[in-house]
Amino acid sequence: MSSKIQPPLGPNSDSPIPESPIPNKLLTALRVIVFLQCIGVAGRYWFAEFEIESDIYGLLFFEWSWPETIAQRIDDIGAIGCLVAGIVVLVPTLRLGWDRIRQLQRVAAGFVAAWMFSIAIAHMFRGGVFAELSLGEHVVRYAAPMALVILLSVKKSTEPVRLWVTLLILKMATAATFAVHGYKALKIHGPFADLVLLTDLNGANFGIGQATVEQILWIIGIVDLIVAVLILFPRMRAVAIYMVFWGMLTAASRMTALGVPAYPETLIRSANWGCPLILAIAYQFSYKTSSDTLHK
Amino acid sequence: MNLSHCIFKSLWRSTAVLSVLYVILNCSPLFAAMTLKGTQPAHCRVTWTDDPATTATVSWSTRDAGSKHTLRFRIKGAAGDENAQADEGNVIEGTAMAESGRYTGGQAEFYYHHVRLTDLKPSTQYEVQMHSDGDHSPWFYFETGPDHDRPFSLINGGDSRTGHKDRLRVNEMIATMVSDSFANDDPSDDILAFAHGGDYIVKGSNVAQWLRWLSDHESTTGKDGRMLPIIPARGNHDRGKPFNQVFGFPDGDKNYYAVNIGPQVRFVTLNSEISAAGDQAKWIDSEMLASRAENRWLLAQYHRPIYPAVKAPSSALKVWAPLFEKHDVDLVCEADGHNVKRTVPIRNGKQDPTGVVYIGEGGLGVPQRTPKTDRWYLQSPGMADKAHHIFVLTFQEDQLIGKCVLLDGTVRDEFTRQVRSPVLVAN
Repeated sequence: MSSKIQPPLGPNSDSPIPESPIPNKLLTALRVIVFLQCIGVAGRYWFAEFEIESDIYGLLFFEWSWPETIAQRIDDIGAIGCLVAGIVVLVPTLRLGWDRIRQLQRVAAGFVAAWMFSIAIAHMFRGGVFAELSLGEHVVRYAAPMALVILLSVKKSTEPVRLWVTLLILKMATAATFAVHGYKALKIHGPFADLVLLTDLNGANFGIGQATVEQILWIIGIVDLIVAVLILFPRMRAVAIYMVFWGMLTAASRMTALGVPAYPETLIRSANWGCPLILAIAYQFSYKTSSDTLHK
Repeated sequence: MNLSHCIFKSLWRSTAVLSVLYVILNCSPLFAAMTLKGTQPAHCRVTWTDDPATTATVSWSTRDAGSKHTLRFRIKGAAGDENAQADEGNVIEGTAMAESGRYTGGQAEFYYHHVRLTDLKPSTQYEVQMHSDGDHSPWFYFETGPDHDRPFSLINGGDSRTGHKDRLRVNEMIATMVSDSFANDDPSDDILAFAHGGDYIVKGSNVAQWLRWLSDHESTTGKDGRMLPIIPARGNHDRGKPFNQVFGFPDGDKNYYAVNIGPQVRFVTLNSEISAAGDQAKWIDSEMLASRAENRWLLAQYHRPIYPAVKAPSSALKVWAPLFEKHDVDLVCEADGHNVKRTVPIRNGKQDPTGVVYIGEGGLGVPQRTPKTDRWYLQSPGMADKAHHIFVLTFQEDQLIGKCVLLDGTVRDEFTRQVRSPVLVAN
C-alpha cells in the first residue's frame, strides 16, 4: 500500500489531488544541478585556462604545513571525484539493478556534499575576506547534493518525511546564501562591484561609475536580505522564481565580466539558482508521494 | 543505520572538531601579551605613505592605554646626550604628541600610537625615541627620502603570514642587507625602504597575529638602531581595521596612494582588495598620466596578481593591465601566489619587448608553492620558482636592476629594465 500525504492544496481545493510527476521533476532537476556544479568544480581545478587549487589545498599546505604533494593529491581526488560523481548522479536509473544504482548515486552525491562542505570550512579557516561567512554563503553548494542523497533513498516508507526534509533544507540553504550575499553587497564587496563595472565595460556601456555601482549594490543587498527572509515562509513561489532568475544572472555575471573562460565560476554556482528552482517546482504543483511515483 | 544518517553524523562531528580548532588557532593573545608590558613602547616602525623626503609616520605599540604618548626626534648626530639642550644652530629637535587608539579586534587590549612628522629635511637621518607615560624606547633612527636625483635601492616582497621561523630569517636577512648596503661607498645599493605587497598575517581582524608580526618586524631594525621605512599594500588576509591602525592610515582609507622616492622614481601602491574598476581605475589613469611624464621610473605594487604564477588572475587584469600598458609602467610588483616569478614583457596579452614586466609573488615567510611554469608569460626569458625571497630593486640613471635574493643569499634571478622615458630632471 503506497504511502500518501496530504499536500498543500492546489489552486482549486475542491478538485481531486492529481497524480503528479513532481518528485521525478525534483529529482531530475537536482541531478542536473549537482551535475553542473560538479562540472564547475572540475573546470575550476582541471579544465580552466588558469586552473587553481581549492581552499582545502590551501588549508592543508599553508595553514597545516602538510607536504605540498599530498595536499595537491587530495585536491586532485576531490576534483576528479566530483567530476565522476556528477556524471554518476546524472545517469538515469534503470529498473534493472535499481537499488544498487541508487545507492551508488547516493554515495556519489554524498561525496559531492562532503567535498563542497569541506571547501567551505577550509575557506572559513583560511581567514580571507568575509571568510567567517563561508559556511552560510556556500551552503547551497552542499545542500543540493545532500538533498539528492535524501531523495534517492530506497526506503519507500519514509518518502513523505524525506521530501519534507529536502524542501526544508533547500529553503534554509537558499535563504542563508542570499542573506550572506546581501550582506556582502551592502558592504560594497569589491569583487561584486567589479562584476557590475566590468559587465558594463564589456558590453552594456551604460557608463556606470563607482558611485552608481555602490548604490546598485546597496539596493541588491536590501532585496537579497528581504527575499532571504520571505523564502522561509510557506509556498513563496514568486519569491522562489525571482531567486532563480537572480541566481542565474549573478552566476552568469562571472562570464559577462571576466569572459567565457570564467565558465567554471558560473557552473559552480548552479545551486544558487538551482535550489530556489526546486522550491519553485515544488510550490508550483500540488503533489503526493507514492512508492510508484519516486521510482519511475 | 542508513547512509544519510551516517553523513549527517560525520559532518556534525567534523564541524565540532574543526570549530574547536578554529577557536584555538584564532584566539591566542597570550604571545602578544608576553611581548608588551605596561606602557613600554614596542613595535617601533616608520611608514611612508606621503612624500618620503619630508614626511614619515613613526608608530609604536603599548600594552596599556597610558595617558601621554610623545615622540622625541632630532637630526642624528646632534651633539650631547639625550639630556642635552638643542642649542647648536643646525640641530633640529622636537617633541610631538601621538595620535593614540586601541587596536580593534580580539579580547585583549593593546594600543597604537602614531606621530606624523612633517617638514623634515630630505636625505637626512632622524633619531627618534618613543615616550609613553614614564617609559621610553631606545633611540632609533631612519633616513628621509632624497629630493635629488641619486641612485638607490628598494626592497620588495609580500606574504609574511605563517611560517614564523622563515619570516624571522627573512627579516634578519633584510636587516643585514640594509646595514651592509650603507657600509660601502656605492650609493646605488643603499636600501632606502621596504615595499611590502600585503598579507602580513593570516586573519586581518586578529590583533594578536598583527602584534606578533610587529614583533617579528622589529628584526628588520639594524643593530645600530636603523629602521627601514615601510611602504605597505593591503592583502586579502589583511581585512578589517587593524591594517589601517598598524600603518597609520585614516580609518576607512582606500589604501591606494603614490610616493616619489627621489624626483625620478614614482612608486604607486594599489589596493586589489577593493573594486579594481571604478574610482581606483580612474585614479590610476590620472596618476600615471601625470607621473609618467615626470619620472624616469614608474612602478606599481599591489597584492593579487593579474599575471599569476599559480592562481587565477584577479578581475584587475581587465582594467589595470591596459592602464599599465597605456602608461608604460616599468615594473609591477605582485604577491599572493607564494612563489617567485618574473614574467616576460607583456602588452595586449602577448609577449612584447616594449611591454610591462610583473614580478612577485610573495616569499617573506609563507610556505612556498610550486609555480605553474607552463603558463606562457613565465616561459624564458621569464622565470618562476619556489623559494623564500626578496627583490632588491636598484634604480640607476639608465637602468633599473632587479635581483631576487633567496634566504641563503643566492641571487636566484637578475634582470634589468632600460629607461623608457628620456625625462631627466635637473637637481
